[in-house]
Amino acid sequence: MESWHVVTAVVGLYLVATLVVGLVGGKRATHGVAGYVAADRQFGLLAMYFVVGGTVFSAFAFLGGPGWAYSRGVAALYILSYGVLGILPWYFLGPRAAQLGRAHGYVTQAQLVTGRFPSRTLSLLFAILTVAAFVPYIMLQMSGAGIVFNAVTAGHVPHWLGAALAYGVVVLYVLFGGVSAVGWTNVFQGIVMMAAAWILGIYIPNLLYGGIGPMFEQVLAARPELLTLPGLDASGQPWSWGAYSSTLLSSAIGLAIWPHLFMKAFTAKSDATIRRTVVLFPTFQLFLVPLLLVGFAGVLFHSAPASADFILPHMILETGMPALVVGLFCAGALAASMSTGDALLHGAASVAIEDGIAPFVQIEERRRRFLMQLLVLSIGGLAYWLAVIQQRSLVWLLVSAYGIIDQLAPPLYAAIYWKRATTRGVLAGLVGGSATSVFFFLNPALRPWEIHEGVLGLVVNVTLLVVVSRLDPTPAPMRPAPADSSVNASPQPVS
Amino acid sequence: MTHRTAVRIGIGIFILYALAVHWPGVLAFSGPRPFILGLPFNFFWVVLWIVLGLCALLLMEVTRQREDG
Repeated sequence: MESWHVVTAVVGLYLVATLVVGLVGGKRATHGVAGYVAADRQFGLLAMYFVVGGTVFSAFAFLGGPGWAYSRGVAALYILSYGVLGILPWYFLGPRAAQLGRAHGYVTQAQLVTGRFPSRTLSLLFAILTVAAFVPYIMLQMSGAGIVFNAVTAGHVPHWLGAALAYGVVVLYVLFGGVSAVGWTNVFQGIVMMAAAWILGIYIPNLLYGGIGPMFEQVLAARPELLTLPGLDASGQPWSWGAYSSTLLSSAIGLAIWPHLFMKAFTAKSDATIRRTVVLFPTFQLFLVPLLLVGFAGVLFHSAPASADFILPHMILETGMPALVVGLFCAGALAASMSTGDALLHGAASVAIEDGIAPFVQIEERRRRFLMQLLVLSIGGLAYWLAVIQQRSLVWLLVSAYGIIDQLAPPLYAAIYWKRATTRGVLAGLVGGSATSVFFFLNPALRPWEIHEGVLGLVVNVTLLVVVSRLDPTPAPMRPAPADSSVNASPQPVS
Repeated sequence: MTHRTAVRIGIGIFILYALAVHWPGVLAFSGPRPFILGLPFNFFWVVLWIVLGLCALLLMEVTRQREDG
């Protein structure tokens, strides 16, 4: 039996196990929208921990992270820093959003924002920005799955088939199980991907250099520029501090705001669960350390991969590792891709229906769930077509997505914390900030000090929000959650 | 320690965290030497702050749980 047979068998087993976990887990939720979108608010600590970790760490962790360390050196450290900095606001914001969600039946961000600032335009804007940011992100996950399959089976499984297999499984359990299935598969996928990361991250530097210290000594002697902050840019030139610092800031602000993560607040069993998830989150950040080590191990490797993102699969194949280890890597990377892709697909469909269509057209509860499933299929199909058949370049789309997601932060914070905010102020900020972000994304040469367009958009966004709200005589009243809602943690039906 | 104090300390640590990894604070810690635990200094610095962030969050959560009973 050839080694790629073993690899394919390991991956096949993993996919079947994921499907079973997803379908069984999905049976636990009720059939309404609250069951499908918010899992009847039933997730405990173990599930929430892996749901959040699995959602945040995508195919990027296994391919892009090592790729950055390999080609751009310590520039990759920004990835380690923004995660913990960015999760802190969730310790306060998450439970607050969850209380409002329970009290008023919110399942999406836009419902929370328009609950305070009644405006259908605002709701539609949230829906458009979310879906626009999600589609390229889903494409990236699918492409990642295809790349992994193709590389480790030595080309025997083509790119299109690998992506189709992995995402066929995802679509099946998202369709039939909703967010419950997403949660239970993420527990399983989270364990697989963490195990894979640590085993590879310790094994590869030891195998090639005899340890982590000796590895960095050799890298420093040969390529000192890789080990001095802020590292290198994509073309191999020294990166600027403005770009390093503002990319870190933009990612940190966006982290807690990404709709697929934010909506998890509505699925938690209790506020304590959300807080404990935040507390444990840095442990997920530490799991990126071994993956970056693998990237650095590639710097002095005797051969170079076709693209920096392939450094991890490339080294795994070139070092002639046991087929079981290769299978483990493959399952880990697929787990990372699928555990983000499922949340994105589910989130995009939920947001499109709840915020883009429901405010304008009356839909019955039962038809709404059916429509949501239809959207999961069509958004998945569209992303697959763009990513695999069209093979569009994804990077520019993804980077602009981060800039756009940042712009959702001021409306959300204002809805929860700022009494003086008005609907007009929030709308002005969101439109101005998004336009600024897109403008500087399309004209990168005009950015002052190479500052990330998301941060530039935020400056305009917050300024407009404050100035217009101050000029507007009618602040939108706060919608407080009932005082007892933090104690009442039982699942509640949504009206 | 009360939860209120712990939250103040926690937020304080996170403000220091933000300053320590952003320009210009990180300028003082941007080089590779000395190696600590086999990691270049800037790498170690970033990992150290993840651990400090974890400690700050734990402190906030432990005091909250004690007060909630």
